[in-house]
Amino acid sequence: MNILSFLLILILGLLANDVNAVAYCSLRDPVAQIAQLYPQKTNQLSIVKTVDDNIRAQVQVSLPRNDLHFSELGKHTLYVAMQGKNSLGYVHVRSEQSKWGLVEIVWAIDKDFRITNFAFQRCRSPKKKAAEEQQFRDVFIGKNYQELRELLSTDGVTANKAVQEQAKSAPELANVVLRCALKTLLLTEILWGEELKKY
Amino acid sequence: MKISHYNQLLAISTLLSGMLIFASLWHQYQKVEQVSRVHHESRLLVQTLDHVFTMSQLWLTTQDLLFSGRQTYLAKGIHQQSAQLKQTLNNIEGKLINKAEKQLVHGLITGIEQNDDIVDLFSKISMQETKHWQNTVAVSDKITIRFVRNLEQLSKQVVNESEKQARELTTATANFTKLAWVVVSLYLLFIVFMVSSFSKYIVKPIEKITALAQEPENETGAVEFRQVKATTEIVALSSAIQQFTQHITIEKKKAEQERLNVIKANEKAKTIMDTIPCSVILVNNHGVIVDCNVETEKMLLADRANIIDKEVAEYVPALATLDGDFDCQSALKSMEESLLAPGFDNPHIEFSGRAIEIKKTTHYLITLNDINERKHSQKALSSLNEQLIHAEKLASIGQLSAGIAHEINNPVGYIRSNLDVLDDYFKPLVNYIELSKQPGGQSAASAYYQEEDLAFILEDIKPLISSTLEGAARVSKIIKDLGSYAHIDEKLPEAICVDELIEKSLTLVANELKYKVEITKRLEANANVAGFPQKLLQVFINMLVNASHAIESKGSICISSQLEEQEVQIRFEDDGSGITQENLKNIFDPFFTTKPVGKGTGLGLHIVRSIIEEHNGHIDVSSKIGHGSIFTIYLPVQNTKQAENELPQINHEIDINLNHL
Repeated sequence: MNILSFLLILILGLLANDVNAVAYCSLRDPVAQIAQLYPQKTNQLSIVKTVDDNIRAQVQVSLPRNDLHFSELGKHTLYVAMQGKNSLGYVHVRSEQSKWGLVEIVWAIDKDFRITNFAFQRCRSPKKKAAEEQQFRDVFIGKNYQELRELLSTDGVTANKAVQEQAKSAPELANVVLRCALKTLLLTEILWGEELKKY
Repeated sequence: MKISHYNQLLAISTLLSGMLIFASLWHQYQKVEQVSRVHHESRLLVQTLDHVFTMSQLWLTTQDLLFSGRQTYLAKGIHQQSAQLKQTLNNIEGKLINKAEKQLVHGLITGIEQNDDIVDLFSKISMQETKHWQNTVAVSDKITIRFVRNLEQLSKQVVNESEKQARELTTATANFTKLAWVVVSLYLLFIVFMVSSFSKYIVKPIEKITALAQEPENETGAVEFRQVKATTEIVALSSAIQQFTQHITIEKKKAEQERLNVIKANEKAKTIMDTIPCSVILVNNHGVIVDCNVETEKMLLADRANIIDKEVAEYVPALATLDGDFDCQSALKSMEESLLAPGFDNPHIEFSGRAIEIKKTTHYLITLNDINERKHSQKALSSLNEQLIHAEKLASIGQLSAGIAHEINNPVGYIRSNLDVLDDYFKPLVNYIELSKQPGGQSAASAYYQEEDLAFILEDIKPLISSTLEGAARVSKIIKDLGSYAHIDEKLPEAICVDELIEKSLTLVANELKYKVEITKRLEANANVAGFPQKLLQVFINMLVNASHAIESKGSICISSQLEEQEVQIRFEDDGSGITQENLKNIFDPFFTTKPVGKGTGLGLHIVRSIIEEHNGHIDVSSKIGHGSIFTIYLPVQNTKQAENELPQINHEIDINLNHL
């Protein structure tokens, strides 16, 4: 009964409208967090795009078992770290469901849509420290969508053995991070790809 | 040790070992069960924690949704989730023993309550309080991070505990299994030991005894059955078998010796059977011939194979009843004369039989003797005997002839004298008749009558004629009696008046007796006997003559006859010299005589007894030296009806008896 109550409450929560959807992928302290990822940045831009059913369908085709939740639909903000008039890269915040609640990761993406860095805005996992170690981070940093896609195992949800081996200190967190990275890069490219060509 | 002790030992040891095994197994099983229960509790705890994780995931996600979307109506749900989590954690806390774990749970509950306070704050937060909002979320994140860490730590500890319990359970189960194996193995070893002991001390000795008993017998026949390494009963049993086999061996040797003796006896019997000069036939109780000897083959003119299995009555009809069955009573007769079946050239046999038991069945051993030669001899002897009797009779006639002649001469003398007188009387009578016939001769005739005294002559003629006739009659009677005596009897017996026959005998011996013997007669039998008169007459004459000879000078003979029941007793009693007791034994033997040589044949009394026995009678004698002898003859009275029926039989018996002589 307890589990059913939780599920019911969760479903009710997920069915909430998208009035505040913008907040789902927003940075709590954008200036500080972007500066942490791009120390040389001078200012930043924010580009808001809407994730609609079309986008959702594209994501479903590309990542079949990593469908976007209904709550992830709506307006989302991509930050562009600027050094003067030059962009240094992009900052994209995404939430990924985990056993520790929602894990919010702030992704730093270069102009070639490669992961350059990432930081946990919220991660309740005790393995968070392990995930912040370089060996763990090297699994994802420097890789674009295709390269990360190859890290998925055949189930399309978890990381393959090589990643598991490399991130053996926090394998479950690695799965969450990988799924979050793939969605982030895919949505960035789909939603903001054309827009970012300007920067 | 006795088998019963073995049994008791086995039962008690099995019971004790079984109890020990089950007690130890039960003890170990209780341990396993206890560990298993603890492990089960720990697994339940792990599962509960998994539920807590799930609930926490939902709880945290809901919070994140609240924090992200600021949908404060989720706060109520979060509170409800918090309450559920706290209740579950309280339950978990109640099941935990470890103090540190309890503190962790307590920390989790505290974290939930602190987070609930934050969520309460959110329900009142305004749109402008972004900084405060972010700070509050950061606080919540810290609380929930600690919550998750504590939950992970608790889960880890509980899982470790559960794994430890699992290992303990595995260890306990393994120990239980090992113990089970060990005790069962020990038990099996014990059983094997006991079984091997049983085998060694009970089964093996019995098998050994059995194998020895089944071994082919060696020449010496000595087998050692006695067992040393065995139970008391088997030792005793083997000793008993040993004694028994020794006894059997001895008995077997005896039996073998007896068998050899039987074989020898059989060979001997067969030799005897085949050598014995008479036919021997063994028949069963149905009269079927079972065995026979060589003489039987010769007698029955057939091979042994053809004789065996045939009924004996086929060869000897006298051994069959009128119905044709085997007459076992006839088969038991002795020296029974009979005839073989028609078709045999020499049919006369004499059989004797005895009943014998062969294999609990009555058999009859019958001997057949060929008596044809004897029959021929008997016939010749019979003829010779008849001649002997006749010769004896003639001899007695010779002895009597002088007396008889004298007896005849006396009447003949006075017949002649009478005839001389009558001749003298004839001439005067004739003259007188002639004178009387002449005319006028009466006077001369009367004168002549007076002169010759014819009156006396006429008166004397009649007694003379009577005396002459009487003398002629006497002569005629003597001649007739002598003639009948000399005459040979008819072959068929006839009725004889004993008294008349005695009178005849007296007539014939009258002259022999009358000068020295006074005859006394008491003939009162007045009865007939069946027989041959001439032979009986010979008997009586012989008895009278013997009595006369026993009287040297003067004496008396008393002849009496009387009827006693169905027997005529004829008694010749004299007062002569008598017979010694020694001679009494032999007087009826042939050729025995005390008379001087030439005076007697020695056959008289022998023939007397033969003739009397021929008439189914018998003779007794008693004598005393100086006082005389008494001969008593017993002859059966002739029964008219019986005589009619038995006449042929008598003839037959007489023939047979004569043949014996």
